[in-house]
Amino acid sequence: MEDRFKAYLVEAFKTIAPTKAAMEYRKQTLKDMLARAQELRIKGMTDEELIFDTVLEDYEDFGEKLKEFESREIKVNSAKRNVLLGAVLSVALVAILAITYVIIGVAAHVWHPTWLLIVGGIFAGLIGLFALVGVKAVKNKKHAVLRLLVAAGIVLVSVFVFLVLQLATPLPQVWLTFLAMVALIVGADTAIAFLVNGKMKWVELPIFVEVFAVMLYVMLGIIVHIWHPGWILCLAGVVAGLVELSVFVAMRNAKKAEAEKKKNYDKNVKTDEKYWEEW
Amino acid sequence: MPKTLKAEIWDKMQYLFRDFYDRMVHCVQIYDAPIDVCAMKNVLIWTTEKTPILHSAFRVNAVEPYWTVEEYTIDDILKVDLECADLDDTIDRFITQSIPVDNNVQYKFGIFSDGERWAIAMIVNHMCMDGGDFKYFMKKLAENYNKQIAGERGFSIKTGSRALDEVYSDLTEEEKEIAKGLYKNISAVKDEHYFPLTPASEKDRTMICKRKVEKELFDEFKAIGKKLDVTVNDMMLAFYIRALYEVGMFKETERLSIPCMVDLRRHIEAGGANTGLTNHTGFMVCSVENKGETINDTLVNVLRSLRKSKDDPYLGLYSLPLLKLAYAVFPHVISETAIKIGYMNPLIGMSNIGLLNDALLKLGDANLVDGFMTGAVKFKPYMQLALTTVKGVMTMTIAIKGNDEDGKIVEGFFDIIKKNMRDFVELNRSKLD
Repeated sequence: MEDRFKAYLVEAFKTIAPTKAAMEYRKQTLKDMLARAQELRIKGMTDEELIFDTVLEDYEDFGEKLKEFESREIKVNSAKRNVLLGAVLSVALVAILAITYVIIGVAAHVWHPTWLLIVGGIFAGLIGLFALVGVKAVKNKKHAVLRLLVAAGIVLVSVFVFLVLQLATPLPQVWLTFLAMVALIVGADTAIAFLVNGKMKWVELPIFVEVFAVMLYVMLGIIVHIWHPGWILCLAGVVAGLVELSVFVAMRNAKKAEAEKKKNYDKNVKTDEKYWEEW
Repeated sequence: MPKTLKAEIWDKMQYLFRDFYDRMVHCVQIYDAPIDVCAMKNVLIWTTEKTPILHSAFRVNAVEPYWTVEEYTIDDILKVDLECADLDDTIDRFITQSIPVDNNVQYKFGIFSDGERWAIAMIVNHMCMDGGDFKYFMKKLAENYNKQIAGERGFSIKTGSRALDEVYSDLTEEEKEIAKGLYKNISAVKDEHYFPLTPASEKDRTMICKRKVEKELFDEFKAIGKKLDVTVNDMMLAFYIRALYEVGMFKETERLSIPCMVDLRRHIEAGGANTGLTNHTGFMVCSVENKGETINDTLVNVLRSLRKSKDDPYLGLYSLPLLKLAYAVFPHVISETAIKIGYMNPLIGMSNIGLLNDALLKLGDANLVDGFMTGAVKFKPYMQLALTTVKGVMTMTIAIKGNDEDGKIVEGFFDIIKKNMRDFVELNRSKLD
């Protein structure tokens, strides 16, 4: 059996260049084939011919695999090194920010709110990481992951903005940042839905419009106390959403009606003498 | 880490049916000469290797269930007893077992003999395949076995996609769009007639009741059917429905609805020859307005009901988009609950599995002389009549979990069906001349 597998592999590998890598691949394939044959025997297959054929059937597209092997991109595997570099850079960034914080504290006796430097650095690092994962997610068309990452990024930015405004400025009601955050998250998600041509994009748009209108209404009410007639914003949001949905449905219906019109014409108006006799 | 396979919608649906039946599909084939056990072993392993779902365990998960491909040996699958004292009893005991979903193999195969007759018997988890693919599987098994004993190669078994969407593959784009919008819940047929079995009890056991329709009788009503341009399925529905009115003591003027299984491979490219082994079964409902005075009247009622279904290009495709939506939108645990609320399992059904072709099921020199295939063993109050034909003899089977009393009720029911067949032949004997 082993000799037959070897003969098969020697012939098969003659279709690609005789490199050291090809030899190693051939040796590994032989090991896999022998292991598979052994497995079939353990399972109860007794016909050696059938075992041989069954193993080869697993390698039906082996020619293609060999071509892929030969044309594979030979690249330096630097993933592990990049991870190490990333870790060192992160530690260095946090250390630099911590040292800066200590220097400012010692030199100018300001310990608060300069600690935000460290928080900002960590958040920036996390957002950078989200960006890297996000790019991969886009490449792999995993849009749900991208949407989650964007939302998480907006939350981090909002928290940081809130902390800065709360601790470093005398501005009142800075917690309103979190109301803006909600509208921003929904807005960004809607934008992504349109960018990736998501199925629910036309449903998401009116939701965003309404969320935006409500948040704006609440913020204006709290800041400049125009609760009335500010409430009109909420209704305007509903109206805008309904208008958008109506336009969407009308356009969709028009498209379908056009297709049906053509179908009706083909069926009821267009003539062909073959229809007299066709059954 | 074990290799995993996606649990397709049909798999999940059949798993959901665990409350209604035992999820096993059964087949028995009797031969007139010995079967080469060693050759069959080799063919079975080859087939199992090519069909990972058959050596996988179903893993239930609150979000998304899946299959894990498992290790096995032939002893997990095959049971051989060539010195049976009572062949029928051995077969019966073999086919009435049930395979747990998390077992390493999802089918069991038996080769039995009493020295005069040789039998192969197989049970398989309904989540892996339905009757349509089970017939295909048995044909391929015979084909590959014959190649094995002849020393030939080129074994084959289909290994394509098991996805539900394959069911639309032979439709045009326009038809597909319509079919994918058929959200109507076809199970919501309000028919509360049930087969009069005894109440469920601890004494109930799995039983497969069988009754043969002799070749002469079958040939006669088939010949009449041909003259009247009605199918065996139409006639069997009429005999069945009429018998139900009698055994269930339903009012003769009452409407009775019986779902009849439909093989959805009619909508699949090449009749499903390129899909994977799976379920592609829907159903059409036959509703008769009343019993009818004679068996011919019942047949007319059946034909009136079926005419609309037969002309429907989307026969059996209703409700599939609804199922797909439920499984796509919700995690498994919620979708199961949602479907259970909306799905009403038919209390009475019929499945015409059709012909077991003896020419295609021949095993070497051994000729197929008898056999049957039947669906899952139903739990009370559900029941289904399954029909298979071998060499011109039809076998009616009803697989239920019941007791001796239920057995007697079913035997009585078979008597009535056969009486209806004879009445039909007598009433229409003039057509035979």
